[in-house]
Amino acid sequence: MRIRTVAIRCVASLCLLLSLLASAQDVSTVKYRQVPAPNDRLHEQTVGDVRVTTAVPSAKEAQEIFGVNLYKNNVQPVWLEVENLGDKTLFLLPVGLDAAYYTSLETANRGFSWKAISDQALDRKFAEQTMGLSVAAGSTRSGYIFSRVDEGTKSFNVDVFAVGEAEYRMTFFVPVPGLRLDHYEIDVSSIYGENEIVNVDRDGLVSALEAMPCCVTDKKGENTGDPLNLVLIGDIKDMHYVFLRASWDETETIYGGSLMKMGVSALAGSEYRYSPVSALYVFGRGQDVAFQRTRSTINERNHLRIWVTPLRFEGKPVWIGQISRDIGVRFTTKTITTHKIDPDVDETREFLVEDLAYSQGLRKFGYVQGVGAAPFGAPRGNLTGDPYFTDGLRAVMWISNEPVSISEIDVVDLGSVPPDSPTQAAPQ
Amino acid sequence: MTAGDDKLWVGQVAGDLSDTTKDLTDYLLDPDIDDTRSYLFQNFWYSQSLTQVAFAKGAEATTADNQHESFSGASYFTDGMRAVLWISEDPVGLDDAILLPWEIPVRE
Repeated sequence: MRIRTVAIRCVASLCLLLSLLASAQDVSTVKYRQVPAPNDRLHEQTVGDVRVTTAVPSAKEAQEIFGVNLYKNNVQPVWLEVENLGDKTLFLLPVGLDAAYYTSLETANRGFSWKAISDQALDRKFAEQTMGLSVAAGSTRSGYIFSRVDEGTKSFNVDVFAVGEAEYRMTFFVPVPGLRLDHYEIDVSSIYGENEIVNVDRDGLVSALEAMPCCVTDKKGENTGDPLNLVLIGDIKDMHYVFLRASWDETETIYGGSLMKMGVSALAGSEYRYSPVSALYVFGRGQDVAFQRTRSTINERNHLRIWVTPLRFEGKPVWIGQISRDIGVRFTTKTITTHKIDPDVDETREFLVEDLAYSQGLRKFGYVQGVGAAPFGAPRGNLTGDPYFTDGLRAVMWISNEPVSISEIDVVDLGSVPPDSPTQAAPQ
Repeated sequence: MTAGDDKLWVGQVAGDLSDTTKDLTDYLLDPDIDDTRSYLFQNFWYSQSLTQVAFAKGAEATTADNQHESFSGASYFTDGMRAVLWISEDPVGLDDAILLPWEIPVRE
């Protein structure tokens, strides 16, 4: 959390005026109409002077509360209670929870074909249960934000800002009955023993990363697949916050039921944001975390898998991973359906750099060797036989737990730069 | 009108609820136009384009039970506030935007 004062930005006289106004606004508490929690599966976090409690109703509970089938219409209500323990008015920004959230009346009018436009009772029901934006000092306010349906664990950020420049950020993982569990806590410290951890400086980081395997393997470690073309440096909780803000979804490793669902979803072209990804192997184990980002259909999704390494840079874990973009689906004898990847894997890697930059989760980045170049005219193949070409570089990204504007991102010289054209190898 | 060297723009934002049309010529407006205003300032905030935001009185407040009507017949209600957005050409971090304590829109 970073708190700055308005004074930094203002001339003294304006500051005095603002502080007078602030004190005029923030002296009294407000008694808001409270909306009861949908269930007792409450999750609570406190950051500074802000306590947030949340609960997510299941499809059945939502139907009972609102009288309409919200989940069927891709609406998942999230109940929030914000307690303002401080002396400044708070603002809760629903965009932080879901960049494509629905307003209350939009929800009331969403796809309920039997609903008359003039059904004001339904409009009122939604309007009265919607979470307001502001929470006065010393006050508590509760209500719903209407988000898109998550098919697994409901994972979301809550961003609260105070008048002035204080910001409070939290990430919640809320299991919902009837939906699959696909968020798993990872204890990074349990993967390697203390004597296996290697603290590295810049040069040590570059040489260690360049010595790591080029590619993922199958379970037996016999065949190599997609290139390990990205490195992330940061704590796991920061990783979740940043990827959620950039509209990525955590996803699970493939299993039978999901495989069937993915087959149907991919062939029908419908959206299935949480279709699981297959296990690929590095350091003898399947991925520690996987994320994906879907566009309009499952056939157009970026997915990435990451593994924590024994390296620590300035105290932060170093992760190595793989990213590729599905551009279609095809049948295979091994997994029934699989995704055809974009052979220009470097372009997908650059998409991630840009995506994290625009969503303010990237502090700095650079490039190292390690993958080995595969020219356009002589592509390599992944484990399912899809060709890819690459300049052979790994993008190294420092994840930031505080928002970084795009003009503040540093480019770090790690000894390599991507070539100008995808048909060239990276200069050594 | 200018504020310092900056031009001052005044405007209007509204959201459509759906493709449903009332009379085939007009989209169904979300009558809670303050929700649409909220989305706009969040949208600028999260796309690194906002240095400051404040709310000022100016429009006539009304309630959901006593809605105003636009000249095209669309009903709406509002707390009467105007969102004042300081737009930046240079990217501004999410935590660098400042909320000014002019008026706080509170709706019960």
